[in-house]
Amino acid sequence: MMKKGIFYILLPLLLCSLQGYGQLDSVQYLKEVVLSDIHLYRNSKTHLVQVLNDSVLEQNAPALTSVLKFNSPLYFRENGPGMVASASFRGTTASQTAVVWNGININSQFTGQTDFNTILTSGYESVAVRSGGGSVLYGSGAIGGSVHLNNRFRIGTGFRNKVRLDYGSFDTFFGNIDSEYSSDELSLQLNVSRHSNENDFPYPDSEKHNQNGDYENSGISAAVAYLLNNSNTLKFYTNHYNGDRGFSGTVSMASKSKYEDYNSRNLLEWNSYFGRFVSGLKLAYLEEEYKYFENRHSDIYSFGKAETALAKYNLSYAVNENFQATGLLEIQRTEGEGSNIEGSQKRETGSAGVLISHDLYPFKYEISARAEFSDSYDSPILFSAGAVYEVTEAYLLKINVSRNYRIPTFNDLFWHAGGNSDLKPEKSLQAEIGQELRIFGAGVSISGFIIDTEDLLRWVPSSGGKWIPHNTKEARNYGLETTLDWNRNLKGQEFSIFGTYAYTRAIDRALDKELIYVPKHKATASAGYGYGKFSSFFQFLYNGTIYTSSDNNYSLPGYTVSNAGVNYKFLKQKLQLGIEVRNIFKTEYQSMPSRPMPGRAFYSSLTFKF
Amino acid sequence: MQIKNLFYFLLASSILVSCSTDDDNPDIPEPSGAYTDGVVILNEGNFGQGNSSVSFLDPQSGNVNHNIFKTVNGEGLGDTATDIGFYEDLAFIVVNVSNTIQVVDRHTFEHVATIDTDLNNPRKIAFLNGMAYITNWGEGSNPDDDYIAVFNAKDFQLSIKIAVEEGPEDILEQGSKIFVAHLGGWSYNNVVSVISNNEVVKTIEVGEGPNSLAAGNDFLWVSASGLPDWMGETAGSISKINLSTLEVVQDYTFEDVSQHPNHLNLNNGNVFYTLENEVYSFATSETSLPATPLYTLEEVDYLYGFTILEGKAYAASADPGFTGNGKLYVYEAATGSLSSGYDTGINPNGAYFNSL
Repeated sequence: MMKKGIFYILLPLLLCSLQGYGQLDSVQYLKEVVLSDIHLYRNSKTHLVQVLNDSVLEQNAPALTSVLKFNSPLYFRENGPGMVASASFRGTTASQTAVVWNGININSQFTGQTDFNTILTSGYESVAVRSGGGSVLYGSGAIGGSVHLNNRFRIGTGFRNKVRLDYGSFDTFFGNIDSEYSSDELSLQLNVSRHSNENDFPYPDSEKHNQNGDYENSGISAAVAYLLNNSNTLKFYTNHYNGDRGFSGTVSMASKSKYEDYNSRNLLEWNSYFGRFVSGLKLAYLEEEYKYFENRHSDIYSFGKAETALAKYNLSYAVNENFQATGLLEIQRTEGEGSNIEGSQKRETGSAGVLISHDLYPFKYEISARAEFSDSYDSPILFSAGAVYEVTEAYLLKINVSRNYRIPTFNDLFWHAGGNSDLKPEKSLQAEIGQELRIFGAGVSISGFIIDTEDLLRWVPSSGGKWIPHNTKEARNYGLETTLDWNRNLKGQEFSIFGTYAYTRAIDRALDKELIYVPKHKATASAGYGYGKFSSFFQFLYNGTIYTSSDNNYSLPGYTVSNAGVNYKFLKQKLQLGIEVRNIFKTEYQSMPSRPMPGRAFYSSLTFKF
Repeated sequence: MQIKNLFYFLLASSILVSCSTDDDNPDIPEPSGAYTDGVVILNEGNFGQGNSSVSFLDPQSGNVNHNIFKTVNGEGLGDTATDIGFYEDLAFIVVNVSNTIQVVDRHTFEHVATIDTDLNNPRKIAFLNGMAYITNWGEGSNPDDDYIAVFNAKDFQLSIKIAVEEGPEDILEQGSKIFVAHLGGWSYNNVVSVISNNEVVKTIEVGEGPNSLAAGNDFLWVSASGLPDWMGETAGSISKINLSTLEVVQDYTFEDVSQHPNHLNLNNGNVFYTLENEVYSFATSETSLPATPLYTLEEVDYLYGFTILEGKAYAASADPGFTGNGKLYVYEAATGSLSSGYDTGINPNGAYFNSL
């Protein structure tokens, strides 16, 4: 049965023949000046990095959730559209997926996770998904992998502006203004968005509808790069998000609660190039704040607030063209307070690391290590070692072994009703082998992975009924990730196909049962066709059965969801009108128990570029 | 008045029936149904997932039927069922997160009515004079909106809401009075309310976190957990209250701050309670607590309910992950020797005896 299942999933992919990884290549050759996170490209060669470009981001605007759901191996636990959504991959937990903004880890200090519905993709030209361990570079939580949001600067292109307005089912409004200006020394970006949604969709095949699920949010972000002289650049990034959501009810529960959250991130970066040295200094200040109202009509709420200041320094030395060594230093201080935390708590960590990359064409290897010092917990020595072998121009072989970690969160350590200050970080030892094949303009990547995690944090009740986190579980995850893409231009007709498939097993080693909420199979496929002013896309998701209980007695069935859209450009391609249908086939499905997702819904967009 | 008399008549006759099993009385039709004589197990399920369920154990055969509410009625029970109370031919199931009470025929579990108004975080139920009394937290974050909802147990109409102190949890009918233990909801409280003629006539101060009540032989017994460590951990206590004077006549205080008693039961002139998985017992005439446990519930992963009836102790055990199926273990109450174990649904919170 299982083999047959895989076959049916792979079949459409196999039928699509094979092709290349164009986007990634061009990115790798970009000058460092335009990038905010050099390491993602320079020190991630032994990993699979998937880059989702702006057209994909636009199709699945405005939040990161559906971008990744329909275009990557990440799977989600989503309490309905716009509600709290956490992502993971390779069978790890949501707090073992790092979200990295311009090189800075932005997972919440309270939950250790990122709510992907609070990350607006407007303003980012691309989003990268880096599979596998990355704690040496990106710190806590980069076990399953990491998701990267990077601003990218243009140089000498003058003014470029984009205005987008969307309207859709359930009173969905979205507006976005994206402006940039660049001269030869200065590059500026500004992005403002606003999104609101009544989100009162009817539950399929039911008299009920999604209740109390309305939400609205706004985001503003800006970035500046200034080339001081030939050897110094200064950059500043700032990003603010403000969200106000009802937490929706379920089939069997009415809700009247509300959640307000505010996130702000500021980063100053100074890079110098002198001789064989490259020096980079990053200073960041991050704020996160939430208010939870059990009753949105009441003024009683609970809250949490955390502020993080961090400094990162890296110095690279190129021994020769092919051998480069980098030293990393990082210090971080976080202060948090809240209704459920005793007083004001702080945590200070420092770390030092070293990275080496050596290119012995056609063979290349990377070795890195990092040690961390903290006042709140003992950290393991982290390392990563990997190699790439270019067997032929069209065939790459990659191998990587790493040790990664996830530190206890403020909630784990300091939560009133059971925070446990004796916790250890979760630790993983993992390995992967990947292959990339480019043939006839098609690209295929396949990687197999294994992750052993120990000291997994789990909240369990103890005497008196309070829940306390403990380092209890051990898990073994293994599986396979594949991607396929293909593009072709035939006499002005643009064809493109992109697909991913992940086979994942995640085993609780004490129980010998599957971990909950991990789909054994997940597949995505998308196809695009464009001709002249017309373009269209179709995207498909298969999310396999997930267990919802640790004894594997309960599960949610797998489902498929398909979206499609068409776009047409007017006025010398300056104006674009788009129409999109989501869940075309009215699939009834649930991502979380008791929470039906919407049936068919319609959206329209108008984009003006000038 | 007539209804009340009928009630007493039925009550008296039902006692007769249950006391003399061999006696075939042709005048009173015996209640019949698949779920008449046995143990109802209420499975809370998981918050927000709407997977509460009812299992039924036939102790004679040892058979357990799962999910009987859904099997009989087609629809699920709802979200986080916290209590079940029997009244005449009806069973009232309190479904906390769904804010409903599902009323079913206690013999067939066929749906009779759903009460879905005037409830806000309902927790536990008791009956007095044809009325159902349900403790309601109101909003967990609001200490001033807690109440007892009083419904007519025949037509399910609201009779009155009685405002009470924060966090009413366990509720007990005894001698024409209603006693309410104020565990404290999202916080901690330390009183027992006494309700008579739908008025709070007295609040009796007990230890912090009163979590269970039992009454017998002119005394009300209350176990209180004490405060957890994040509030400055305190030891639990047991209070003995004179039912005539409504005064605390004896406080039993635990020595160690890590001792948090729960699941107080009265059986054969003895008080039973639990400390984690250990069962303790002392005679109601004793003036001090026992130093050592009577026995330990070795098989239990996490004790979620503990009830003694007819010499048997029924221990409900939640799955260690709290997401999977639990167990109900039956022990000899006096010795702790295991007599049987059964599978249940998710997070069973206790055994309720459906016997007439």
